[in-house]
Amino acid sequence: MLPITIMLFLLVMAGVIASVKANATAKMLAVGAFAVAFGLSAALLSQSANETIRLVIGAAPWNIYVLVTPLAAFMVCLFVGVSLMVVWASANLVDYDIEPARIPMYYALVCVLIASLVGVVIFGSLFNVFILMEVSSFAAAGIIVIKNRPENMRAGLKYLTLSILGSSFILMGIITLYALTGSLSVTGIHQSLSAGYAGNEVAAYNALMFITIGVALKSGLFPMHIAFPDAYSIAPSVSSALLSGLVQKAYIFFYIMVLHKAFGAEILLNDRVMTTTLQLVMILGAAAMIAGSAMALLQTDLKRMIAYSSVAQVGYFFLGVGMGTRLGLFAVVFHFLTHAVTKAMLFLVAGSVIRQTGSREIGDMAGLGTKMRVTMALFTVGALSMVGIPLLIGFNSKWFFAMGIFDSSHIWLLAVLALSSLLNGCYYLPVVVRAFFGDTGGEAVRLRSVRECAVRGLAPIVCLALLVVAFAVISGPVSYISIGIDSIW
Amino acid sequence: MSFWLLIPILLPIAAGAALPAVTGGKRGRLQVYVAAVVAANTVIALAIANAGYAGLRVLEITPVINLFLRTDDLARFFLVLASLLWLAVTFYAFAYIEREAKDAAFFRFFLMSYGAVAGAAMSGNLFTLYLFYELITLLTYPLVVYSGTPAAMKAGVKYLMYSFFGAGLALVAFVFVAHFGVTTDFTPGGVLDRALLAGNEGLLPFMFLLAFLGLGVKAYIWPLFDWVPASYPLAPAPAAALFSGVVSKVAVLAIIRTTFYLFGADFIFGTWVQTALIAITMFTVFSGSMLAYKEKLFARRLAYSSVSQLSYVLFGIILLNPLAFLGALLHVVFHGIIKTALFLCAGAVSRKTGKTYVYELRGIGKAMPITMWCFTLAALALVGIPPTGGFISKWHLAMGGITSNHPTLGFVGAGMLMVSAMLTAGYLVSIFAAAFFPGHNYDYKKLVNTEPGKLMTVPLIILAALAILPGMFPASLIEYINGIANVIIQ
Repeated sequence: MLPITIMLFLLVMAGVIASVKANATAKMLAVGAFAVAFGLSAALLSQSANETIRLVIGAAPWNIYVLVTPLAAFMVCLFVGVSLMVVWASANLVDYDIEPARIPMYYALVCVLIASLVGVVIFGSLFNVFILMEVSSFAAAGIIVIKNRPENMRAGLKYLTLSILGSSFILMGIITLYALTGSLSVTGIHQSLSAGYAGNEVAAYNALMFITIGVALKSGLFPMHIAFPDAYSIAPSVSSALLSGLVQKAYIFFYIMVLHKAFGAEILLNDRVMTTTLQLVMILGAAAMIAGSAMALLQTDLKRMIAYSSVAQVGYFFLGVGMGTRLGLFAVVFHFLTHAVTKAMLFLVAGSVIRQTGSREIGDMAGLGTKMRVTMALFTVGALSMVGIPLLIGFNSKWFFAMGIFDSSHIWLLAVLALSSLLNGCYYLPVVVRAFFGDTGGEAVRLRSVRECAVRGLAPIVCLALLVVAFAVISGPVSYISIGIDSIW
Repeated sequence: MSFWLLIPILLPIAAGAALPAVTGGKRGRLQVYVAAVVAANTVIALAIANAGYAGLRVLEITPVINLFLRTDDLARFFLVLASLLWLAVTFYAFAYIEREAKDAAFFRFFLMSYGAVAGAAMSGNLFTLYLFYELITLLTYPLVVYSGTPAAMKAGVKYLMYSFFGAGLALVAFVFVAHFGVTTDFTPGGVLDRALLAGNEGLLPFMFLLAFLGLGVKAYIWPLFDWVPASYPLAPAPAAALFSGVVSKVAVLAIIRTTFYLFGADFIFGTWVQTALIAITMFTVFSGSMLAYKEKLFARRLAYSSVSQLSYVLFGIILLNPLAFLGALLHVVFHGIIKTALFLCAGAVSRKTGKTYVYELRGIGKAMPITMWCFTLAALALVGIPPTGGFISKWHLAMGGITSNHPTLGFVGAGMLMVSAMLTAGYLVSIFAAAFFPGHNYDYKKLVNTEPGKLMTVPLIILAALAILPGMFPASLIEYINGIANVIIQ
């Protein structure tokens, strides 16, 4: 019951928070809710470390089917843990971004969003998962449009449109699978497909392709990313941290579950059409890694730059999934951790900078390191992690991807990986350099009134930064993710 | 567990991080603090070198990703060299940075870089080496852009990008080693496993090329040395001296580790990549010397000279024979000392007189006799006049070339060393000749003594002496290096 409890608890808290009038109470309730949920997730993580939790309510196929592999438990913990940090940081940031009357609503939406993401990963029935994916789409659009400005409405609408388009592809894929196998649970589908699908190959291929396209649309794989840079840069920074740090990962996790739990590696890797599909995914991922970084290079707006960086990072996930190897998948899941922690941190830093300076232009950040020393030091940690400096979590990710590439037969991807991390350096480091070593000559007057963030705003970001270092130097995540991969491979 | 191996790394880094807080912007206190930290760290480093072999493994995340420090013969060799040069430059830097307002910013990263260099010297596996290699890039970057001028900022970006590009190339090769090797701890003879490698042998030379060129960025290999002429003249002289004297030697260490301790000489010997790299290093030797010969800006001439000299070392490494290896390591020592001395002389001249072009230096030997005498001795040593250090190292390099498995290329290489030595004479002798013999039309009445103070001259005198004396008594050094060579080259 524990996994469902986490989800339901967050949904109930959403209702409670929405009915609160005082903003301070709403904030406290939200932080409290996520703290409790995190405690439960940690319990789930330790409970499911060695076994897969199964729970069936009702009769197949229209039932509730909970399937928590160690990998899913890891994802739940990641989602709830990072959102705890983000919500904590938001206490200092939302007042700047969102009008006071909407703040309780905002936190309610955040609870709904995270609850739905938890739902996407804990259910083993595609029917259940699909419903929660829809909930997450609407909640995500909600935390984009909350700012109530025309550009937010536009960005939110664009995001929602593409997301729903993606959902409809996924729905078609699920229906096809149901028609083919008569089952909606991943285990049922897998059993049926394993028994053979001769004569129905086309249906199986269609299902795979529909779901691939749907997930690509929903998670913003290049060239289907168009809604995402707008959404991430225009949404409140707290929302950006959640959207970019967490939401995409739920969809990609769903994709991994479909690939490896429903289809299964032995089917997937022995069918020429399916391996070709995977290779296509891999190539699109590689293209995203380069194109996203190249577009990030062109940005002058800090949040937009980080948003395009996310487009590149989504490419990493699809690259690893598309390689279709165990090591590739391991790298992807490790990168979930890396990207969630690092990107959430970077967006929160960006939010703090925008709040303190009133400007989102990278050009205006010259000399900011003298005024917002801690904030910019935190940005530096995030940037260096993205570039892949050892002892920061980004390096570990890069390393695991490179090992995965050697393990696959696509050595040329190394060039993509190397180029992508060089490009990361090309757009992240100039910001750091400008902040700490830049010429403040003309900016001195404007910077005079700039102050460092309050400690209560910095504390959660510092925690994220510590995680960026800690996860790079402890072996816990590596061994846990290995167990997780074993559970689905 | 020898936790004390962490001290020479963590002490300067922590001390550097705490520098502004401790010194509070007071120059006297800052100098005492920095001198104390560097001196203490040098003593600790020497003690570690003296204590013999020790190893320490911490932060074990995977068998590859873990921090492993180790003081084998090669590590101790580089640790001692780096520590002594760092100590010499520190005192000089007090006098050099004196006029600038931002001395805390300089010495902070000056100290922290020392820690990173010590770490690189003692690194015992691939991950540790890569970590400190990247740290050196990041921590020395503020030294390059110290002056804060737009030109320096531009040079700084170039430095960062070239360095990261090189590190990226090397990382690809490192992953290759990790994937096809039995371990990533540095093992004499290499770690690659022929059975694991089966089917991918064709990849190996290519990966080695990536590693050699990538790590070679900081050792100024063609075609990746373009950042050198851009950044050296703009960096403060002590920083330029350390770049050329120490940081480039760390790159050499990294290349030695990669060649002999990861890939293994056996896998490279006789392949196309060896031939290609012999050719590339020879070309770099020649073009560096030519560029130095043509260059009129004093500091940039020395920078181009380093381009050429470092490729002597790389040439000696890639020949993969003990004689050439001996020459290479001897040249690491002598070039480290000599080039540090030369950059410090150039810095003293520009700091005291504002003269930065070589044609402005006529008669400078009368105004700054000690500085220019030191320059002369160091320059002669670099040209390789017997019995200076430069002669012995070049002799062994040439002999190594001639007796190598590529006799033709080796002969051409040895010839190239001679040509380069003549060019070296051309671009250095002309400087001190004009400095001491300005010609009959020189106006001696205008002569003002601009000799720098003891903080500058004493390190210069010591370095100049070191450039000459070990060349006369090299036996124990040669014995030590042969000890290393015998283990790694069969």
